[in-house]
Amino acid sequence: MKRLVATSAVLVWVASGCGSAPDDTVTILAASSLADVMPQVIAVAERERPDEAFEVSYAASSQIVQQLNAGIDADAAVLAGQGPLASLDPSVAAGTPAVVATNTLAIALADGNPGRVTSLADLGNTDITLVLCAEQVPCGAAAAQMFHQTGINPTIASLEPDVRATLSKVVSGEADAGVVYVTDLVGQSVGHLDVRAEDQVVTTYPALSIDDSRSGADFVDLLSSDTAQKVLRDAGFGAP
Amino acid sequence: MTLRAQRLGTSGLGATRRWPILIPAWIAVAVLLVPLAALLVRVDWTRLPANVTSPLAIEAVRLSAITTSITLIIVILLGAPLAWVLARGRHRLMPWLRALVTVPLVLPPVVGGVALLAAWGRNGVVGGPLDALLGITIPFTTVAVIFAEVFVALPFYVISVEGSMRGLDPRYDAISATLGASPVRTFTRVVIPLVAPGMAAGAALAWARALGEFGATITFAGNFSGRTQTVPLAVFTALEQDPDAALALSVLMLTICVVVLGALRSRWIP
Repeated sequence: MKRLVATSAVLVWVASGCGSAPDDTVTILAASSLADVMPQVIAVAERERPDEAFEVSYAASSQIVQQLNAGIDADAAVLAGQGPLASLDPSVAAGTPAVVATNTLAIALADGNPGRVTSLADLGNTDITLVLCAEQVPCGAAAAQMFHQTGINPTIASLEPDVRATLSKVVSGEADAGVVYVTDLVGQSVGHLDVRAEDQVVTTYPALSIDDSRSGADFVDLLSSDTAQKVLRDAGFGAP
Repeated sequence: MTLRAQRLGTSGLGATRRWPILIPAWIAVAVLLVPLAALLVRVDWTRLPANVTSPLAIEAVRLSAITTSITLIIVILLGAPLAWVLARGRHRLMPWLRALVTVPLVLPPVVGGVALLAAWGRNGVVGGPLDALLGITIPFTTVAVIFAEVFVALPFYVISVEGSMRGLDPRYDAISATLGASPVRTFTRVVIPLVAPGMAAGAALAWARALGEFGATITFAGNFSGRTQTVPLAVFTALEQDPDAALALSVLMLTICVVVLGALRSRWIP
């Protein structure tokens, strides 16, 4: 019995103490497509503010909005696309979100280009195996808009849950082509086709500070600084 | 100790001495039932009919019904003979074979999907030649969904049926053989009728596992409405944008599982 009480006490202590970050930690929620670049941005932030610790949690932008509406304890959020902002509770984040980066689409091609894709219009061929992101995630919404505005009617093999799954289907050679973000191709050896500027769909990344957090607002400002912008540019993101 | 263990099963024991067992037992019940009850609390009942009859939901339910039915037939046709071989085989490698065929039981389904791609993918060990020689590609098709479901469900069936077959007195098949029945006749006329309840239980388990299959399917078969988007994939896709629709589909799936398992239980399973 005594041991049970002791164990319960330890469990309660662990649950209450270890789960939540200490007050001087800046918690940032970021869209999954930022997962590769964010550690470098954080490195910049830590150099500028050595007295603060930063913690980043990645999720789909729509999930981040759900987390924020549910009252998650965070200082700042960086989302992919303006769409998810529509369902954000206005009392969570005051002020206009600052756009800190942009992203564009590219067509990833399987090794040897088995689908013989040489233009965006080729994605309308019925005999190629094409994978896109599901329309519920930003890369899928952008791809759907691109096909809509160019009048191309693609034959889709699969709507993948996120951009990484889409790219991996192409890298493994299961799909001939996939529509991904240009930033996903940085550092990858996979072949690709650029999308012409007039066909392009631009995804913006709005950043916002949560619950009037001072350090959150500072982090949003830092994202617009020259140093952070250079890091973002090197990772393939466009200027805001 | 033995006496106490026997008396625990009866109601004669005082409540003070039973609580070390009852409290964890009730916690276990809560761990299992609270999330399911929460689904019923959170779902928007007024929009439920519209949500479960949306074109996306109907396509997903139709596809799940078709694929799990075909999966069940394949699982029974292949699984019963394998269970019999495992139950009666005397080869010294038989325990190893048994261990191997149950690996998919504990394998994370996503890993199963990666393995299926490695085997049957367009560049896979078997799928590569299949594509090059016959022009047959399996990923992104309904056939791939069935492959994934059979892969995860078959071990459940084999393990469950093998247990019943092992419990069968070997004298039954020996007598059947002495009376001149061939091994196939013994299997179909003596063994199968005797282990029918075990086979029904195994079929129910395998079917439920196939219905819930997610990781291997989305990895190997992809996600496209009407072709590879089964109910669990539809729930996952809807969750991103329309949590209400995802909840409604979850409740629908819960209901189907409870109804089917309940019907099977009262009819077949003791």
